[in-house]
Amino acid sequence: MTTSLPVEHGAEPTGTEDNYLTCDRGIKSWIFTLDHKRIGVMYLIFTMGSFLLGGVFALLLRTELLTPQKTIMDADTYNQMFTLHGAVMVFLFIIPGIPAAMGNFVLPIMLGAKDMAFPRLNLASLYLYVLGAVFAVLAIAMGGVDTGWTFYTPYSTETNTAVIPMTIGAFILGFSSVFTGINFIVTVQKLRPKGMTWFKMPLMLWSLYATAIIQILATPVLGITLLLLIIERALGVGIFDPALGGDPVLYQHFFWFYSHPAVYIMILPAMGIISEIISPFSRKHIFGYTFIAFSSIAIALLSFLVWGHHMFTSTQSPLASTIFSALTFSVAIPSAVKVFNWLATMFRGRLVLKTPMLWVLGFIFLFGIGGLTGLFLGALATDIHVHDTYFVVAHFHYTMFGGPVMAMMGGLFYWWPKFFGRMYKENWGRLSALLVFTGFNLTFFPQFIMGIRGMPRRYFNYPEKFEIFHQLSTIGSYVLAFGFLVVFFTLVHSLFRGKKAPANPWGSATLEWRCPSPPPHENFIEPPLVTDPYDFSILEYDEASDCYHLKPSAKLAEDGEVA
Amino acid sequence: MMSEETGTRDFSILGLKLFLAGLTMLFGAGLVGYLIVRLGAEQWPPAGIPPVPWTLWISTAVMILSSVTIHGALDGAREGNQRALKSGLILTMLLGLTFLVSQVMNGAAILQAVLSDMKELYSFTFFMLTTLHAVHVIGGLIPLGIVTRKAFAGAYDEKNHTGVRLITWYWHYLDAVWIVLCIVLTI
Repeated sequence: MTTSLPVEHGAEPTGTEDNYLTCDRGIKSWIFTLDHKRIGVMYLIFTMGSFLLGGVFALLLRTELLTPQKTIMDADTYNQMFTLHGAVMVFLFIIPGIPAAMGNFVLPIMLGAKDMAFPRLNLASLYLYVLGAVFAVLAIAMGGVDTGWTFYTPYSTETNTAVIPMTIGAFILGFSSVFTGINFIVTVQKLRPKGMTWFKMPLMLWSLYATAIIQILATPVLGITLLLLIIERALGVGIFDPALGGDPVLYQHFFWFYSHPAVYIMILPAMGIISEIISPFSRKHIFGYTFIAFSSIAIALLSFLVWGHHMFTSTQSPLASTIFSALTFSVAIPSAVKVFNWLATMFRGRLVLKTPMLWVLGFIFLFGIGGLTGLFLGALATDIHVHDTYFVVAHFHYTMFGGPVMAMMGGLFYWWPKFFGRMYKENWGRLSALLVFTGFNLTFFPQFIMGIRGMPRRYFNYPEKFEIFHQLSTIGSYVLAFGFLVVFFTLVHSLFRGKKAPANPWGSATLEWRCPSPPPHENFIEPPLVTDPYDFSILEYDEASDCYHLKPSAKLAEDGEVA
Repeated sequence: MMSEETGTRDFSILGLKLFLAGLTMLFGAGLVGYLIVRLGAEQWPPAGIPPVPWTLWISTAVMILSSVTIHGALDGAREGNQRALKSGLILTMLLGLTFLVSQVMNGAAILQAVLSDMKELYSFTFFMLTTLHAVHVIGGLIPLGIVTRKAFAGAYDEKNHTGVRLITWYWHYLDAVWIVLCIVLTI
């Protein structure tokens, strides 16, 4: 194992210790760090904190819904709970979760680069995220928001809750997202080392690239929408509020023009993680690399054309609705391309059912259900029937939780040894994945049934015939919470008691596994050999260190080729 | 291998182009919003209110002129002509400030015409678009000032003038956006 860094050239401070966590000490070395790995770790801590906050809101909500009448809170508090749950989860957790936390850490290393193209901009985007989060917390402290996370007008123009701080928070978070996107694209285009062609890039990078396109092009539209909303609220100008002569549907168009692409900001990087994990854990080359790569770009482009499917019941013309419906179905094609390629990768592979792979299998199953129920919502007739019912709630939790959250957990367990250099208890990890999977299905499957039978979303009281479904759902949410508790303890325990992680514990062929765990400050001491990211024949297992190494023959062949 | 110097230059120009792509979506959304309000109105401008002041064209002339002067600065940098570089930057700054003053006067004229009723959508959309643009002009004057200071410190030569290139790109972009806005507002 590498224990010391050779003396670095250039003006960068030289660390004598061995990795990015220990090369520099003290709180200042974190606050002013330009190291993408440290920024990624800080993002991870903040997004996980937000996840906890949003999760607590969710548990309170579910507890309230245990009985058809008031259980623990009054109706106004309930309105605030579901709004805050949605706003915190969407803006503070899922959107920045995978790209900013995991993407920041792994993108440069997977590419074989030393850092992002603009390290200072990267740090700035972290601070913007923190500032946005401060405004969101301020809004919660000032009595919360009760408009639903979409801030629909006229709710948001007429309520007397803290809409302005919350929307300012979301506005600032948007800047953070744009800067992260710019950094990703420039890094991928300009910092590829020798030999790293577009088609030798790991699929995670393709998906982060596609995500960045959406971040840059869609987020500014949310910016101006929220700005107009703030002005409307502050000055009483009637752009959106019908009482003042405005058009509330205009708000919805603007809002969904961003917020529909935004769901692909959540899901695309998740799909990238799945592609990374599924190949090494099937001990087989990824199937259909080019198709998966281009389907990411296709999803990014199509994502801009389908926002109207959120507005089938909002006085949109039938012609527009029909077109949006058809376009919505077309997004299913690149999504299905990915799923079939993953299944084909597993087919006749030697499946290694370790923790990361369990999360991935969970993802495919849950996202499959989420995607297929999406077709019911994309179809005009069925959508009008189930619009604003629990069917929709269940659908987007299957896609947004079953997708990004499962993938993020998979990625967390996959890269954890790389992040912190420690192995967690494998069986605890597996148990947590099983608990979350079970709890999730118990929480949300009953909601499909409720929804199709007419239970509207966001209602405080409900008829008694829905009680059993609500109770199952609430019990499921407790199981889910327990599952995440196990995740937390498994990971935190590993930091203190975990076995030291080898450089490549899983036998993956992507570049981040070529540098030690955790990686040194500059990632690579010398530029790494770029090989096919999913060709495992170049690796050999070394039992003594429980680690995979590059075969000497592969090294020689590469050197020969280069020379 | 690219040298560190050229490498950085390439990065920042690409980064700026991506940023401008994002800004285009911002201004585009603003314009779409404006057009929806305008096309949905029964009468535009509303009865009894004159159309936007013709002095908008003065702003336009100033803006176009500033695009010419900043390009002169860039050409100066490319040729190593320090005098052309410095005078181009200074002139652009002065024209940028003139543009802002002219915009404030246009805004005041609109306010007078609508009897200071900002809530009225005709004036509000005007202010929305022009303020959005003016904020980006102000946002451009700050880096322009930094570049000018560096130019006077002799930081740029024929080979190394990324800062000048970046601000020129941005300034031309502001000019283009303003021309589009001005046409949409006046016709």
